[in-house]
Amino acid sequence: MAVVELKNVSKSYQLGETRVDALRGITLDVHSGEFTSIIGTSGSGKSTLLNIIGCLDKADGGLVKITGQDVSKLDEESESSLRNEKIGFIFQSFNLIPVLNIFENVELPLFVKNKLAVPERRERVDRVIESVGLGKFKHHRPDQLSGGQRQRVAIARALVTNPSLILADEPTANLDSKSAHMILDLMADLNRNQNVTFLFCSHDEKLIGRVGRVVRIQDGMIAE
Amino acid sequence: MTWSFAFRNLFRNARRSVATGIAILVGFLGLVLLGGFIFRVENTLQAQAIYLKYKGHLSIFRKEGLEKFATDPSRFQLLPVDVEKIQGVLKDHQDEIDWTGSTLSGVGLLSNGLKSTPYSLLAVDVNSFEQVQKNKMVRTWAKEFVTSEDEAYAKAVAADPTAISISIRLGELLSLYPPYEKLSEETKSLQMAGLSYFGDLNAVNSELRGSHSTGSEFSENTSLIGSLTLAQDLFQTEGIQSLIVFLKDRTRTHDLLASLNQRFADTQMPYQAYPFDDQDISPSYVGAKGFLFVMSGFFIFLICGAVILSILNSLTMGILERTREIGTLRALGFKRLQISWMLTQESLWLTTLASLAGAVLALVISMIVNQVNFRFTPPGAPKSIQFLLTPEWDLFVYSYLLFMILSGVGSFVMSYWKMKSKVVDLLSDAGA
Repeated sequence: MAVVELKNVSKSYQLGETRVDALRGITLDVHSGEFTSIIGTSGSGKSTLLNIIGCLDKADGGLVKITGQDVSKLDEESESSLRNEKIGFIFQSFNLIPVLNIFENVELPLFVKNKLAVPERRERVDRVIESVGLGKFKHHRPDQLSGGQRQRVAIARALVTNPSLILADEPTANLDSKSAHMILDLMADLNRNQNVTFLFCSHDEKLIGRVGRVVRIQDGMIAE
Repeated sequence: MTWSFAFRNLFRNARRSVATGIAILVGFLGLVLLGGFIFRVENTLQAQAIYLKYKGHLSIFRKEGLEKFATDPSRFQLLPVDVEKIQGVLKDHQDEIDWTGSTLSGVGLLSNGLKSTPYSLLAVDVNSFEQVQKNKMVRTWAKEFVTSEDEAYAKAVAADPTAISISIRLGELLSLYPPYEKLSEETKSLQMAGLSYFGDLNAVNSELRGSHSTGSEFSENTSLIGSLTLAQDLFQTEGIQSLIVFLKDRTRTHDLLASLNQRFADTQMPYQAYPFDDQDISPSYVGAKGFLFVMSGFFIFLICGAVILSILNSLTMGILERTREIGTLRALGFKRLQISWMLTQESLWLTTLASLAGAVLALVISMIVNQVNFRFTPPGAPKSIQFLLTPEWDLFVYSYLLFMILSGVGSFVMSYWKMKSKVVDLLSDAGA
């Protein structure tokens, strides 16, 4: 089943007096359980593509379907619900809330709908934190953790809602190589063992051998 | 969790939170103390208008009597038969009435055999003199206006209906100077001349037993207070000018007023009741209250304006600093409404903490100011009164609620508006 369906997606920006065509007719399917990396140089359009797939931005043209749902027809509220229920995000700068501890950071997406009973919610958060190996740190604040640990927290936060898709924008860019490998190992492990669908973008060619599928993007178009 | 989250966010930029908190605290303090001051002055002015000027909560006149009694008293007076009818109507509201009294006013000449000077008489039934002296509202809010001389006069007039009290300035015009009790009995014996309701010139003897001050330059030269019996004797009438009604609960004044006037109209009785806060009944009270309310309204506007601007400024800075974080929350699925509410909770926390500190400070400042005993003379008051700050609990509650509404609504609207940017712009810190 295709979690992401893109058909002829385009997006352009106005940069001063210049019009920049960030995406030019992108067509791409991402299926459930895939571990996909969008590789491209800086300015190739990979982040724009990820933003559109994550409903953080709107495409100018073309069709964008997430878990079969045409996102162009969604209003702001429905887009928020879709992001909360179907998509997990991992950011390059971790984007953790500094005043919340690790447990609370991971718990945060579950407050949007507040559908779970408190014990069930706590149990799920504990389980996810354990799965990224941070059980001992759940009462620590983000500034008490290393970069790699912070990115693990971000992964746990992305996992906690059991999303259909996890999007990661340059998840290893702010990490040293050792931490970067550990994060990739963790993501690969989650993909393999829990069938989590990952789609992440990177400019790092060295990652090619570590992912299931590589999509190259160049000048706003799929290169191969 | 959002309340706890909001509370913790206050400490992110503690210096700014403290600065905003101080602005709220000062505003709260200003509002509570200003309210306490207004409350004190308003109660004092009311006690003066209702009791010390013998207007009652309600004054009942013959129809048009309020305007025309001075020029045609015999036609617009209330005769015993009228009083009986009015009392019949008042009987239905007996539970709400503390007591009723009668007033009669008139002008004439006061003489001590050597000199004569015009007077303006306010005559009141003896019971009302006594009741006013011991009234709780007077004792609480206008005790400075009730001197031992007033109490002595109330006792004297109860024993001798010819006892009169004159303003100090009126006494000086007759070369009489307080303390009057030291004057000889012969000197204290004064003659009051006036035109009877039959058009004849009449005179009665009176005994000088007290002095008072009106607080008004205009009336200070002529003010004379006496018993109703004395006035009726002088003006050769059994009638009165107005029936004054003192209520147990002053908040019932306007309800009872409406009910009485409706009843008079329905039964075609030619009477009209007026409240103590009617412009024609208590012009000085209404004028002073109007001035007080306009002045305080202006200050409240300034205070609230300063507080809301401080809160919004702090919130704007907070949103600008946390643009990316807001974008992250939006990306996680939080709706604009939810994030606005989170940011509003921060303002509500700050308002609550600052208001609590402001309440404590208000109590301390009130205590100090009240101990120091500053004095001032409110407009239209006969004497200076203590600058008392009496912040009541409801003032604290209303001020708190006002600030919570201001900060809540202001913060919510502003944060909701500031978050109109696209999520991707918020995440790249280019939004808000």
